[in-house]
Amino acid sequence: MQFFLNLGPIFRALMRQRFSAILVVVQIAITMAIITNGLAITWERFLHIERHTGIDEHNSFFLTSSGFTQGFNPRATIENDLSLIRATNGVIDAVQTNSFPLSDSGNWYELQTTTDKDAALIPAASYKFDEHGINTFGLTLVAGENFSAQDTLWLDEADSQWPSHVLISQATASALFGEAQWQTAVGKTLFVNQSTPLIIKGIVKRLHAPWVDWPHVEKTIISPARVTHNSARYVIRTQPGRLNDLMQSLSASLAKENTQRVIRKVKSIQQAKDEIYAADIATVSILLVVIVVLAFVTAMGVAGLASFNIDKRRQQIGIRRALGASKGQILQYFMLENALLCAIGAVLGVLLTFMLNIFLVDRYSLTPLPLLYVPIGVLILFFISQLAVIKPAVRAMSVSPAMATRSL
Amino acid sequence: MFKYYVQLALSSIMRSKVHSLLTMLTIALGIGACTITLTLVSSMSANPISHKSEQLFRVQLDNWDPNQAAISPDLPPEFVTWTDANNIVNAKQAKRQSASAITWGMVNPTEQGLTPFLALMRVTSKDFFPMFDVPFIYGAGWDESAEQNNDYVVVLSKETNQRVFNGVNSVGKTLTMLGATFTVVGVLDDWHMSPKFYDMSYGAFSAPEDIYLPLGLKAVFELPHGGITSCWKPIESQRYDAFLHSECINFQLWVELEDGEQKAQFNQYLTNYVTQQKTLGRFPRPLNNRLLDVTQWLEYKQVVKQDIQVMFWLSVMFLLVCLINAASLLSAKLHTKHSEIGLRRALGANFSQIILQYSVEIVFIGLCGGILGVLLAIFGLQGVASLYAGYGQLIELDLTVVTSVIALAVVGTIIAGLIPVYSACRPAPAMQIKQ
Repeated sequence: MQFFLNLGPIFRALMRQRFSAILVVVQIAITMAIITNGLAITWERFLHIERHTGIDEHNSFFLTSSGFTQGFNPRATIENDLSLIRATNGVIDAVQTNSFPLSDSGNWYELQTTTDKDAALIPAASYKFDEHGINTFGLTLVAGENFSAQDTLWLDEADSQWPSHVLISQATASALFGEAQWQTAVGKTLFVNQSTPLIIKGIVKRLHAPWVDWPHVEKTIISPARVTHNSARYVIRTQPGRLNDLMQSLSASLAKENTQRVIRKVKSIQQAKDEIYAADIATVSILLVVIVVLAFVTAMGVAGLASFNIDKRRQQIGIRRALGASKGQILQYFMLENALLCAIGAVLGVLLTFMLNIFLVDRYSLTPLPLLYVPIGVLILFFISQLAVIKPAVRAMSVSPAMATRSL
Repeated sequence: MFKYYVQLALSSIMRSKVHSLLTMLTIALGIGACTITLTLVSSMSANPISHKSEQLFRVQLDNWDPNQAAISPDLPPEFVTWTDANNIVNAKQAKRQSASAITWGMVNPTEQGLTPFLALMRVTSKDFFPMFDVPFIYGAGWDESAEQNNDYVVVLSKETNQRVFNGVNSVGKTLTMLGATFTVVGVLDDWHMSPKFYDMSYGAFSAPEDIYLPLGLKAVFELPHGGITSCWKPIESQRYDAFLHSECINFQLWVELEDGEQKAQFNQYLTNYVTQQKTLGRFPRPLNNRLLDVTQWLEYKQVVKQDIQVMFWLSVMFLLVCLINAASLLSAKLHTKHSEIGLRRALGANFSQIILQYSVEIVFIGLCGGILGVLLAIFGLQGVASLYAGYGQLIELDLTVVTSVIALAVVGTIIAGLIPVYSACRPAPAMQIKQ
């Protein structure tokens, strides 16, 4: 009860210096609006970047071998290269593939469960690699089985033939056969281009499409094919800790092995990921810096106002102490004064937070702010400003009762 | 009198060094944040060819699926087919016209004793160079007859010329690439349009290509389709020319038109062209031609990332917080000066003299804060540039941004600082002296 009785005099004292009190309240409100919206954007981006693509991102790299002479034999080169890479110490497995997650290039097909023209079309990104792919990418087979060596077709660049069996991701299976029945997809037939039938041999838990912002990023289809092309892309998975040295030594030994081609674009999956998300990583970093600096500036403002008030009221504090107020009560007074400012700021702040969010959502198609962020924002501001007021309040606490007798 | 005010301001600032520095720093942080985001926005929304932005037009035709628009709800595709690219360029109905696409191939400079390398190439029309004001150090683009006869001619970028010919004048020399012998006709000077509005298929800030060659050579050498290829109809066969004759889009078509009259004429030509193609069974959708000039095109492509615009608004609010903070710091300082103000007023200083006197101090603080803020921004931008790896080198602080933010700092500080001065002048001087 005592606690609430204090609020009256505190409020009246604040009203005597409306200008600085209003400044602090507005500052707290705007800070809250920025921090709350900034944190929401940051967290959303962070989750987007950290989304698992389904492959072993930390221990894999890729390179491209491009043949340039008239007599260059793509198929023999691919076979030689892969046996050399797979036999290298430290390599877990390697595969030739048309594309991989985070590569940002590839193609997609529309899948159906019937050849009916009106049936729903399910878009799925297409990967083409042989039975080594599951092990190279570190995919988890959740139903059915992997390709066998006999399933794999060698295709010419211009050859649009499809192998008879395919693997699909769980998301593709769910989209084709229903969320609950995805497991039943094994052994069933799906159609590509409304005509070509393909038998589903297995389902992998997760394998993302090559384009990170594609709306259907989880839907993929893998066909056991090796496409011969003057340029071939290999993905290589190494034992932990061997990535960097193998990136160098393997590209050197491949270049030496066959001089009718050049080895280029040697990069780790992690590098590819950092490049593709560069803008998002920049957004997250800049916003975090802004949030921290802003919190600091506002804390300084709050501390500044408090210490200014305390300096002005040294005599008054002395009188209160002389009249029997304990040190704790003085401390409580200033903490409470700050809490009151903060509460008024928070009311205004919630309003501003929503206004800012509506503006951003409306103008830049951001996702609306999850409500949970509002109490988080209030708590953060409350914490910052109480923290900022501790030092000046402790100084006020140590004003001696003798101050009452002195004039300023 | 003014000199006296300056002396007063300096001595007041020196008396409370920490306080003044804190105020400047607060303003500097806000200004720094705003400068950084403003620079990002302005360097990304830059129009690299502003002097002829109203004369260059992107041509879009709607050859798409009758049941589904290329870009919802009803926009035509952004690229054109090989057929339309060639027909429109050869019709020569505009002042200049160019169709181009990215491709790649092996360069094998064995005569120069270099290892072969894969080069990014652009197949394009001869008008490409004069249209986009492409600068040459040596030679020029190819001529009409080379274009018509599909001569094996190339234009090299400055880097490629450096790499292959050590930077010497290579015009007239030969270069082995794509398994044939080409003659160099021109070497470009440094040229990096940013945003790369004429072809943003590899990103608005991607690097220009290494080598340029006539459009017709794409079919001769069956060069790969770089950039974005999109088809709404299955291609009839797997042969290379089946792609060229298909409805697949891949080519960037631009025209240069000098005035409204030429634009109207060209529009009429496009309408006639599409109508004529419709009689051949193409263009099943309703007439939907689009001519966007460079500014409209950049706006349509949303080159400035939304994130950066969001950050810009957040930084404006951040500046507001900093100014409010500066205002409360200044007002706290002024409270210690109430008796001084009272004394001055009692001695005959009027309201405007008091305001002027404090304005000098406030403007000084604001100016220092602004300059400090720009310095902070210079450091900050280096950090930001390293975050945006792809186009970091393109972020530059420009003078307009710098002068406008410093002006903003001064104006903001005056508003923030004079409100407390105004309230300090209200009570009767006698009351203030007594305090």
